[in-house]
Amino acid sequence: MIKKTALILFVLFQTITFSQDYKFGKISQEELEEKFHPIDSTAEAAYLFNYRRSYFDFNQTKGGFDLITEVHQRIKIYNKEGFDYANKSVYYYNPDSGDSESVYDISGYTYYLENGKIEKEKLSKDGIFREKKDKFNTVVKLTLPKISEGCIIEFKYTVSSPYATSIDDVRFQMSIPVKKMETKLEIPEFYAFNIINKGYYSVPFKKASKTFLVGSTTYISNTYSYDAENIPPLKNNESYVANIDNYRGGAKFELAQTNFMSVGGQFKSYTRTWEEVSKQIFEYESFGSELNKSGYFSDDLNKILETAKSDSEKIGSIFNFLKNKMKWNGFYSKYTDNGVRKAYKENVGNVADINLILIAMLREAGLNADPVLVSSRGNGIPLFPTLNGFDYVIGIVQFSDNSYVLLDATEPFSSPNLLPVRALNWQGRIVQKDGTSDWVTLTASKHALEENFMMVKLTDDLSIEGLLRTKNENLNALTIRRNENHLKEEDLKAKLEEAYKIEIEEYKIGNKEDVNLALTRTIKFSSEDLVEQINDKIYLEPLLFLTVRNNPFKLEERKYPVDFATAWKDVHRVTIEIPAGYSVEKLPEPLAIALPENIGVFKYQVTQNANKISTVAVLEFNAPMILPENYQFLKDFYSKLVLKETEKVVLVKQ
Amino acid sequence: MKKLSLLFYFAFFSIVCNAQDISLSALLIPKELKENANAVIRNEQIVINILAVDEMVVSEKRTITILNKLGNSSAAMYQHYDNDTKITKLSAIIYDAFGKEIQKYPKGKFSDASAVDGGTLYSDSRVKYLEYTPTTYPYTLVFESEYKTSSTGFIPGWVPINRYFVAVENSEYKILNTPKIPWRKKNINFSNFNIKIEELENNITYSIKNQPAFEPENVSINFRDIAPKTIFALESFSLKGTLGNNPNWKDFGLWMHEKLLKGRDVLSPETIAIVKNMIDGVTDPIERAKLVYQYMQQKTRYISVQVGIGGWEPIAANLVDDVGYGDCKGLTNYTKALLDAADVTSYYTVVYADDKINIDKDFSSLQGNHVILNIPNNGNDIWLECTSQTMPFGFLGDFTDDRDVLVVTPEGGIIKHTASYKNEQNLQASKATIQLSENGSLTATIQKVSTGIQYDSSVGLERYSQEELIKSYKTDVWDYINNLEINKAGLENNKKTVQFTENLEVSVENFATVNETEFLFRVNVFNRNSFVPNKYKDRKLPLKIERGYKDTDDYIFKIPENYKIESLPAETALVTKFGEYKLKFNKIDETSFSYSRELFIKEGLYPKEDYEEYRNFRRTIAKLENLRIAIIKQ
Repeated sequence: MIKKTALILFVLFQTITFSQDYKFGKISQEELEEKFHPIDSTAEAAYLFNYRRSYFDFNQTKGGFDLITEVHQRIKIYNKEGFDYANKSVYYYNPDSGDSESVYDISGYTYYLENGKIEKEKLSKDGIFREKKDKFNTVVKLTLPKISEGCIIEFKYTVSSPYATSIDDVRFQMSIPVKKMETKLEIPEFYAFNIINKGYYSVPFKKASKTFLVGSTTYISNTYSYDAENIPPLKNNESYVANIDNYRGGAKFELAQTNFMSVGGQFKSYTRTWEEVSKQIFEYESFGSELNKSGYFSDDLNKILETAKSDSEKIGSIFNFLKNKMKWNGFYSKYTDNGVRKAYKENVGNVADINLILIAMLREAGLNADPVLVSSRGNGIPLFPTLNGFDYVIGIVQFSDNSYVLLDATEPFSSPNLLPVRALNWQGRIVQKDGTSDWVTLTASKHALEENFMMVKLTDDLSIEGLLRTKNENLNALTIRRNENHLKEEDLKAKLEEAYKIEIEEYKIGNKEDVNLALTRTIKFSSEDLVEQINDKIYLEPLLFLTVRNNPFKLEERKYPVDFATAWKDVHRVTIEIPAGYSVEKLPEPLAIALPENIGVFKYQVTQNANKISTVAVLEFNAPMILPENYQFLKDFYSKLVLKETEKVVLVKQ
Repeated sequence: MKKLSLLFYFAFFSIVCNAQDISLSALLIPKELKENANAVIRNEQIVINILAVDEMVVSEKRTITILNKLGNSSAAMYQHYDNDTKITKLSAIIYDAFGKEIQKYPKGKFSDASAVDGGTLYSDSRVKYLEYTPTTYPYTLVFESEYKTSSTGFIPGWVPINRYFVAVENSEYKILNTPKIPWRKKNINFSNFNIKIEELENNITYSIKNQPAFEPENVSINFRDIAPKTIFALESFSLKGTLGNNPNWKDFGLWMHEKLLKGRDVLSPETIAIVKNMIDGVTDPIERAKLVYQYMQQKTRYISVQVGIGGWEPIAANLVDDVGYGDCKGLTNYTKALLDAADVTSYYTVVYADDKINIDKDFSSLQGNHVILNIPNNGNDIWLECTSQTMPFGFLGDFTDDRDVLVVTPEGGIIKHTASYKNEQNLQASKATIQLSENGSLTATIQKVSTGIQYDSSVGLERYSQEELIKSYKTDVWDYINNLEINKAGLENNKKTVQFTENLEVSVENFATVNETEFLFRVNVFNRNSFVPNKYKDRKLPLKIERGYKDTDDYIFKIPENYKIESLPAETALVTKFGEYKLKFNKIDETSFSYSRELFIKEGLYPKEDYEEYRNFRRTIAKLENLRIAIIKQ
């Protein structure tokens, strides 16, 4: 039934949209009268038309192509929340020295109805501002005039770029609905691009060719056209999302080769396979050659090697030495910035500076160490061989028995085979000494673990006194050390008191700095707020303040994965000693549930032994990511878990 | 070749003599200054040199030791500038814990960027800054800057302790007024500090030594109410090339009116005709103002534009009329122009928005960060926020309520106090009928009516789409209720009475715990307030409850069939000087009972000794908010 309605709606819209005129300035009365978006009545605004044409223009003076991009957007603003769409920012590359992009032919209008008649107001010069943001970028800000609910804004501009081969991604899906999208990319035969769709919404392209003449030379230009109607929006408002842009529909264009042989020029291949991408990065000066430099660290390395003899000692000592010595400046890159020598001297560097030093030192120490190219979580998943597909580099040491360790020295709390979350993105590409390459899985091999062991005593006056020992391992330990090690113990204690509603008498953190050991925390606490008394009966949750009371998944459906970044496991063991004179009237029944293919498991059991009530709860996710098709299962799973954990133990006075 | 070696020699030599400066070593910091501190200002020397009405040189040399990662925000290696301000000196040197130089940054190494936030459309404000990644803690940095400006409207004051967790070993501020321009100064919060003042004619030096760091505490006064501060103003000044006079608020207000506002309030004859037409037949000036305000709200939108005299001059009214947007200054000035056309008197008013800060009534200078409109209304002032398209007429909300403001009239500046929303005025009254079912689920209809500041905090729900609204109830308003379904949500915004009403129908699965004999459930279903402020072993700052409010909740519970109400909890009333909490149960008949709850928190300032009592009050409330009762199976 639902399908049928959708079909009818679809047909209806087709007829509506066919009657539209998308020429600049041809706004219809119907468009202006529309009160809400016919498919998504909650949309604050919608692209009525999102047009882009990018083409290569032969620049006689420089003897090469420029990339010209014309943009034309028509946006309907339904209500006040949509007013922000009337402010548009266009960033362009405008370095202090070197070739600049430019933005020109800006024009815009706001259309609105006055007494049933279409009125328009021009975007004046006063509404266009240019501002230099930093050394490299300038932004043009357009502010459309006379914005009111129901109005339509329309603007166009052109961007000219001397960097013809870097083509901006084609974006199908936006944060508001798109009624019609039209994108054309016209690329001369001299250039070949790899094209791939990304996200959960795809639009196929059509290819056509036409012939051009420049001077006496003719060449073929290929046009890639994307046409789509009624593209649903994808908003960013849910938890456990790495990067919403990964999931928004679009297409990427990455240069594969240039071939000017037909006009007496050269053939040059850029990227075609991951093998070639890796090799190309490897051959880049601030990557491969940086690995060959070694003199700058000889003295330090010799000192390390005086004591470190075995392979594992060497890896451990070099890794720790660099983690201590080098401070990461927060910048991601697969290429060095200041170069390894300078970085080493100043003790500061970007990701490549630090990890390439690491690899060079490991190699010099006789280990089979190589760089691994990574796409950080913010950079998206590397689906397709492109240079930009990687923005991060870590190290790997491989052993003769095929085992290996992954190393990232930018993170002081990382350890061998335990990478920080930012680098945990699917697979990385190992680049060997000869430039050949291969995939390696980056996902943590061990579950992020939290283990709680609690022993409490319920006193006659219904307060609770007890001890809690918490152990965190793997990614949990890394994340906690990173977020909390620099904070004052007093503050951490106060935060915990507030979160658990307890008063802490003793607070001790163990293995704060030693990343090879589990991070532990032992607290001695008391609380008067954990037990409730109703009509002479006592009620308490068997896990006390460790109880999961909230289902984090509240929404009906989810269109993209739940991304935990790692497999994880929480184990709670709680023993409660009840006061003399009370007996147990009711204990929760045990429960064991699982998600399909055991990607999630929950086990729960409460038992009584004399005056002690013992509870064991284990929650485990065996995959870093839960796909949308399992979202409903996950939501139900959590709902059962919450229901079970909030079931109370009932005690009665004898 | 010779030159080269000379250069080498020189470089070598300079390394040697720069190698170590023992006085910069972090090891020399007195122990009491390190307590609670993330950074220690070792030595700060600020010199303000007023050379003429339109010429001022400001130089600063700051030596600061950063003790740990949290102290990095105090490293602040940047200098702002704009078209009237030229940076003449800028450098930074970093030293390690022993005073050994690690890194040196001359002016050329500083990055240059626009200092405009994302919401601002255009401004000429720029900043030169340094991004430094510390390699070791503690480290010490020596930052030096000097700039020359032709604007003397703002004279940088002295704020020796500028944030929590920062101690000061030595800070000195010297201001020279060689041309002897008449000036005024004011020392704020000086009484609890040992500040040395050396005053000569037209030349004053302030200094403070060995001041330990402050630590923030929950529910307390603001940092600016503790920290000492000195401010200066010249009676004749220059602002972006415009000369001004500032002996008092009256004259300063007059200057603002003459130089910043006058002539910028002209509207086209067409627009004036529209206004005249709109108010035709309406005689009451306030009714006219309402129509004008509504017209302005429909026609415009807010955009931040920081151009004009130092960000102080509004865009002309006719321009706002043309494009339909403006910043707070532009939109307020435009509304004033429209009201002029409607023969309603109104005044441009400067205010500190957001944090409740008064315009200092005893010290006239460039103050404030926002502009609103005042309608004098024969002594019953009406205030209009002109940057909002939705705000009710005459309502300010917590953005600008209850504070001293500068009203700019053609006769000069006047200090007035804005409308305030206090205690019971900020009311949220909820009524609900709750039906419990045998399987432990419930269905309920709820009506929530919010007024005063509570209107302000709930009216935002109106912006949501239906889908987002339901999500907001599930994940935000009632995030503590599992298995909640919102079956119906209707909102009603009465701008006339400034009342926001939410009408809801909800259901909750597995709400109660049901066993063979009993049915247990929490009675405060929809308005749980579990706030308990932190515990302090040794509270140092006074207790301040910034805003009072009152919540009332009246629920009628209908119990499932086959159950009976055996006993209901007794009435509870906590009455303290901080507020009140009352609970009352009443059996209506065999199948229903009522629950009424009242939480009232009073605004107020109390000595630190009262803190523990307040905390206990909130703890008891938090516990009572979780109260559950049992009904018995028949």
